[in-house]
Amino acid sequence: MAEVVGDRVSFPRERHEAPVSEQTVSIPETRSPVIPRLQIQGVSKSFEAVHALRGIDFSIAPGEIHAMVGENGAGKSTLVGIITGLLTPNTGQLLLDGEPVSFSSPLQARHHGIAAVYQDPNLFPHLSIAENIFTGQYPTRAGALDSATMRRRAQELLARLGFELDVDALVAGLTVAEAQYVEIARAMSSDLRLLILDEPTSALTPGEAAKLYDLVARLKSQGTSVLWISHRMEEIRRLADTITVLRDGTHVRTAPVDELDDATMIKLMVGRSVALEAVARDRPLGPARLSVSNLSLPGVFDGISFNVHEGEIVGVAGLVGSGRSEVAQAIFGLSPRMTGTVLVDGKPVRPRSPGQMSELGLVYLPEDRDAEGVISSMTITDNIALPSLPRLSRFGFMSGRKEREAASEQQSALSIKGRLKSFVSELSGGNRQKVALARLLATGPKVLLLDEPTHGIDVGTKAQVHDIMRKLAREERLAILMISSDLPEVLAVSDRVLVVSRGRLVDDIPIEDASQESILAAATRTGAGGANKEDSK
Amino acid sequence: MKQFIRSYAWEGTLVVLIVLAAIWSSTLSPYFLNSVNLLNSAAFFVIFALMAFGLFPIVVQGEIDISLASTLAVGAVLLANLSVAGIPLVAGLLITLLVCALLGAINGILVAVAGLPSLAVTLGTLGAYRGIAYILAGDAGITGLTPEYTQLGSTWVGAVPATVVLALVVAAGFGVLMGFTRFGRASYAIGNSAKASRMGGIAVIRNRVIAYALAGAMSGLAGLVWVSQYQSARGDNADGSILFVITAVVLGGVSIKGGSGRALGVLLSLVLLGTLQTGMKLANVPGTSQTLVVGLLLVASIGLPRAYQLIRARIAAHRPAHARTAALEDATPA
Repeated sequence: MAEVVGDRVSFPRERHEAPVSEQTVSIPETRSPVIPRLQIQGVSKSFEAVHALRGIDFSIAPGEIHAMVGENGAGKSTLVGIITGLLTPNTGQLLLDGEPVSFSSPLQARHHGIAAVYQDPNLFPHLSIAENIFTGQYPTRAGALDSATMRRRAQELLARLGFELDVDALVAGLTVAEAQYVEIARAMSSDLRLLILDEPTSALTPGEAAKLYDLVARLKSQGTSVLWISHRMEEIRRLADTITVLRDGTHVRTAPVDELDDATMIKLMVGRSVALEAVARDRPLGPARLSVSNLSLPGVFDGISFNVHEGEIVGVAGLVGSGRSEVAQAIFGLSPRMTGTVLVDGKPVRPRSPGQMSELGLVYLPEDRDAEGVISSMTITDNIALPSLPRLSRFGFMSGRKEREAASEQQSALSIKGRLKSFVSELSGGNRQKVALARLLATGPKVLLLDEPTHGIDVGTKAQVHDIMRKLAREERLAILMISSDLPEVLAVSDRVLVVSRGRLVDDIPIEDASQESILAAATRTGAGGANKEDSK
Repeated sequence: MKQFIRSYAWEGTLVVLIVLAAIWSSTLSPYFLNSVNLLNSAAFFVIFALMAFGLFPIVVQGEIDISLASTLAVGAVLLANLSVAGIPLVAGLLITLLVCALLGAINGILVAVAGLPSLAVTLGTLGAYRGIAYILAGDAGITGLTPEYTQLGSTWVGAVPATVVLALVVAAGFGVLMGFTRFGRASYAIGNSAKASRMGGIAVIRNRVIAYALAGAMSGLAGLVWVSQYQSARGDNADGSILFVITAVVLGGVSIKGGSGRALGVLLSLVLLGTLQTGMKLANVPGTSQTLVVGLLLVASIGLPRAYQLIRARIAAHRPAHARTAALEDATPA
C-alpha cells in the first residue's frame, strides 16, 4: 500500500495527534453536554493484514441525525457491522447511553435498541409483512405463535410510521421502498434508540425518498438518534445535524453540518481536491469507433442505440440491475442471441464471442475482477499475455521473450507493483485491477468497455486509474465506455453520460448539463419516454 | 535456483521414488536390471503412456475423460478390420485416427458446448464406445492381421523397441505442445479459470474440443501399438486400464482440479508406475493386489497436494496471528 497520493500518508498521522480534541470540541459546542447516545472509542478492526478501521472516535448525540460519509472502502460498512454486533472490533469499545456494550449479534443489538436498515432490504420474501416485522421476537401465547396479536401490533406500528401497507402481504411483492419501510418497522418493534440507515435512498424514487426524510425527521423528534450513511450531499444538507467523515479506515473529522461546505467535505473524503470538471480536450473527437443501434436482448434490454467516438469517454449510469453491464457484455460477444447492429470502426459485426471482438480491437473489463478479470492463481506475466496470445505467437508457438516484454511494458505503463513472476493472488485489490486492465491494454485495443473500473479499490489507485483512462482517451485516442455506479466518478471522468433504466437508454446527457441529480432523476424515471433516443452527436 | 528447485520439486520427488522402486525391484530379482527385460517392460507400458499423454491436456483444462480405453478398443478393432480387408497401413491408420478423434470430439462437444459434467459424459461414452468395439469385433475378435499392421511391435530402433521410441517422441511432443504453444497457454488458463479465460478472449469451447479430439486420436494411436503387439483385436481390449492412465497423469503432478502439471512429470510417473508394476510382477504379487496399489497411489497423489496445502495454511494462519497480537499490544499503550 505504498502507492498513495499526496497527503494520504500524512493525514492519518495528523489525526492521531489530535483526534480527541477535534471531536470533543465540536459536539459540546452545538449540543447540551448530555451523555452521548452512542460513543465510539478507539475502535479498530483488521481483516488479515488489512486495517479496515483504525482508532475511530466519535459520538452520536441523542435525537440527532448524524451523517457518515466517506468513499467506498472508507470503512463505513465495517463500522456499522461493529455497532450492530455483526463484527467484533480488535480494540476499542462502544458506550450506549454511557454504558459499555458489546453485541455478539444484530439481534442482541436490536434488543438494546440499535437497528440497521440496508440498501437492499434483508427480509424473508416468502413471509408476510407482519411475520417479517416480528422475526426473532414473535409474540406468543402459551408457546404458540399469537398471530392475531402479531398482526394487530404490526398494523399499529405501520400506522404510527405513516405507512399504508397490508400486514398480510408477502414481502416478495413489495417495492424496494416498501421493503425498507418494513425493515424500519421491524427496527421500531423494539424500543429504538439508534437507527442506522445505510444508503437508504440510493434505490428509491425522489417521491419515496421524500417520504423517508419525513419519517427520519419524525423519529428525531421522538428522540431517536439516526446514523445516516449517504453519498448525496443535498440530502445530508437537508437532514443532518452533524457530519462524520471517514477515509481509508480512519476518522477524519466530526463537525456540525453548517461548518463544512461541499468542497471541504469532498476534500476530507478523498484527501485531496477533486477537480470535478472534465479535463479540457485538446483535440476534437474523431470518428465513431463503436456505434450500436437498436440492440435488444429479450427480457434484458431493448432498443439501445449510441456511439462512442475516438478520444471520448462515455459514462454509463443507472441502477444496479438496470441492464448496463448486460449491454456491454452483449457487445463483447457474450450474448450471441442479441439482435441489432454493431459497427466497430464503421464495419458491421455480429458479436459472437469475446475472442472475435478482441481481435477486432474491442475489449471488456468485467465487474467481477477476481472471478473474471484476472486469473489469481497465475503470474502477472501469464495474466497480461493471455488475451494477446495471437499477437505473441508465431504459427501457434509462443515467444517467452515477447510475453515478458509485453508484460513489463504494461507493468511500467500502469505502475503495477510486484515482480512479473508474482502470482496475482499476492497483489492488493488495486494492483489486481491494474493487471485486469493491463491484460486488455496489451492487446492494443481501440474500444474499451469498462465495467466498474474502480470498484473496491483504494482512493489512490482509483485516481491513477482515472488518469490512465484520460490518457488512453486523449493521447492514445481510444474510445472508452465506462459503466459506473459511482456518480462522482462518472461526472469526473466522462465526456458524456448515458443513463440506462430498466433495460432502456433513457437519457444522453452532455457533461456540461450532467449532475448527480439529473442522472439520478433519469435513472429512476420509469417508463420509456426517452428510450430509443438516438445519439445526438 | 531456489525457485527452480521449488518449481520442479514434484518431478524431483518422482525421480527419487523411481530410484527407490528400482532398487527394491532389483532386490526381488537380479533379472530386473537386465536391459532386455527393462525395455520389454517399457514396451508394455507404451499403450498406457500414449493414452496418458492424450489425457494430460484435458486434465490441465480441469476436465476428465474416462472413455479413452474404450476409444482404444474401437481403434484396435477398426485397425484389425481394415487390415483384414486389405487396406494399406497408412490409409488404415489415418481412418482410425480420424474416427477416434471424432469419438473424442463428441465427448468434447458434450462437455464444452452442452456444458455437461465430463465425468458423467465420459462414463456414458465409456460404455457406448466399448459397445461399438464389441459390435465391430464380433464375438471371437479379429485375428490374421497383415504383417504390415503388426510390424511396429517387433521393430527395434538400435537396441530400443520402436514403440518405446514412439512414446518418447509423443512425450516430447506434448512437452512442446503444453509448454510452448498457444494451445498450451490457453489450456493452463482455462484450467485455472475458464470464466476469466473466456473474458480474456480465449476460445474456451474450441480449445476443449481440440483437447478431447487429440486424446481420442492418441487412443487410436495406442490402438495401433496394441494390434502390433498382440496381433489381434477384441472388444474388451484395454478394459480397466483407465485407472492406470489417470493415476499416471495425476501422479505426474497434473492437478486433478486443472491448471498445472508438465509433460515431464507425466513421463516420470509412467516410469515410476512401470517400475513398481514390474517389480510387483517379479515379486509374484497377484494382479488384483497390483490394482489395489495403483488405486491407492491415485488417491495419495490427489490427497498429498491437498494435505500439503492444509498444513501450509495451518502454519500461515498461526504466524500472522502472533504478528497481529503483537502489533495490537504495541498499539494499545499509544
